[in-house]
Amino acid sequence: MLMTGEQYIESLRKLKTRVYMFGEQVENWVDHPIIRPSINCVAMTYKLAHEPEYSDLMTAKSNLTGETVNRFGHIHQNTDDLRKKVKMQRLLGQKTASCFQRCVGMDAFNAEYSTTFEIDAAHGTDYHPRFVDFLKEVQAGDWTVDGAMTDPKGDRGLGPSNQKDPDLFLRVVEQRPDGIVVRGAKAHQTGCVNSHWHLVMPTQAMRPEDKDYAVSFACPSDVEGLYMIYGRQSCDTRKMEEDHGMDVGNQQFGGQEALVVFDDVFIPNKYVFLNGETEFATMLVERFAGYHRQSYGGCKVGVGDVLIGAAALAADYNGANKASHIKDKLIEMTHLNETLYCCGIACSAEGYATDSGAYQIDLLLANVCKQNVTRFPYEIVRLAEDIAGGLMVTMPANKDFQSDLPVAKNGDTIGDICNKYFAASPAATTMERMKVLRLIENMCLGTAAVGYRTESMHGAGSPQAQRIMIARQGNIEAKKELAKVIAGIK
Amino acid sequence: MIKIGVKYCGGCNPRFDRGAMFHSIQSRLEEAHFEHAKEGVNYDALLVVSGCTNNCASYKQYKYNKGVVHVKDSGELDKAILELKRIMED
Repeated sequence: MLMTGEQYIESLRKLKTRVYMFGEQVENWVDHPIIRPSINCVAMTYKLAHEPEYSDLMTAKSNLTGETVNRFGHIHQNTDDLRKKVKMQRLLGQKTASCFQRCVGMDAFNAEYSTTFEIDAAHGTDYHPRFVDFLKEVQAGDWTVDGAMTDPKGDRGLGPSNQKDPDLFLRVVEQRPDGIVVRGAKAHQTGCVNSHWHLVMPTQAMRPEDKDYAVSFACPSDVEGLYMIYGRQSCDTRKMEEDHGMDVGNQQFGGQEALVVFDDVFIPNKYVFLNGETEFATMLVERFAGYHRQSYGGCKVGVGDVLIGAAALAADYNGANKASHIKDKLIEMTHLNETLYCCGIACSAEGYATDSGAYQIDLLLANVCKQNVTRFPYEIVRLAEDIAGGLMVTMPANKDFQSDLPVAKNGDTIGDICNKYFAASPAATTMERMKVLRLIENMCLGTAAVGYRTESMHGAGSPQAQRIMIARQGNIEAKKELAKVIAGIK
Repeated sequence: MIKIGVKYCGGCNPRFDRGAMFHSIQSRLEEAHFEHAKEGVNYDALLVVSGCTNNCASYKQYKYNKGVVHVKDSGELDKAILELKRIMED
């Protein structure tokens, strides 16, 4: 079944998910003005699957059932699937100008699928068939699933079992014949409130003494003992202001992160996919991180497309579009953005089959992709702010532009004065000019900057994590040999 | 009337307006019936509209008798119409 966007939103209303924000429980979180834009983003992943102009990217044939499923629930069967994943993400970034959140689940499915296969081969466990059964449920229900990896981690100098507070890494606190009880939390969870289920993975490599922390499982978002504390975003309360209008920049869409707390949650065995096999935590983490570093070569590029377009519109509306330096800056932004896309496509094209048959990206190229993502969006933002001008952060509120309060000697209102003094090129009305500047503000330093800037830095692993992987995969010794041959050194 | 299944690529980075391209083709071939391609339906031909030269749209899952016409560049309008007319005349 492929849900529509409307069906997805209605499906969320049936959940009893516990959400807290500003120190209080949010009862109707589906319609909350701060949360709803992020739900609209996920709804777009459902909507486009039904549209002929986009369905080639948005859907795929399930290798488990042969049915057409949303690509977000699909296991990559070849390099074509890997490339189409990146293309789908670019498309959704273009349509939302935000983080659309559903990628973490897709990347977690693919990491779990191949890793559980290899755990079973090594240990004789039955994690893979359990996971396949779970994934069939996901595909049949067209669920959104939060791929939950990042633990709070406490003192970064200490391992999971050495922390003063043992809950700072999520762990098994009780083994039962029919399942496990888990306690802990997952931080920065993108789209977690908007998810039907959570798929939990360990956060890092585990040592033998960290056995209780080497755990992976799935559970519904409204399972007993689970709750979420919503993360703030820069300028978020603008969405709660009456008549905010253009002030929010992007009136329809936005991203979402929260802290997910597991307060002694019971997980039945059928949803447990790793339970103490510490040596496989590394494989699961690295495969998930690899996929997610590939993802950023798609989603951030799509958001970048919108920002480049907004900067070009601002130049038009300012009357500066013919200046050669403006044209050159737009070319530079495009060059940087397409370079990220090249990385996403390249690590996909160079993918390979794992033992399970599912395809994995090229790890070196995916880490290079993400390393570039930690840098290029910042430069694209800098150039967008350069082109936009200072008004993007100094302009009055929407209410001022709408105000009919007389202030001038001739009787002109605040609105008249704002429209008079912020007029520019006849290519646009003053309000159109203000709208595009607010959109740039939103993406560069407002709510969407969470996704486009800081998430680009730390999401899917902070820059140093990629540099470690690049060092491991870079094969410097082989490069030394190349140089020796050319230089005539024996 | 000849029946033509239409398949778009996913549109991640199109270099031209794929929808406008299709409508231009459709308006110049009024004697053909176009519909979005569906699996299990028999078409006389397929029209695959891709937004760039990579032409990544998948279409092997559809049934067609006479041929496939690809459009992957804004300059290919006349060529596509010519190819479709040839198929219609076969």
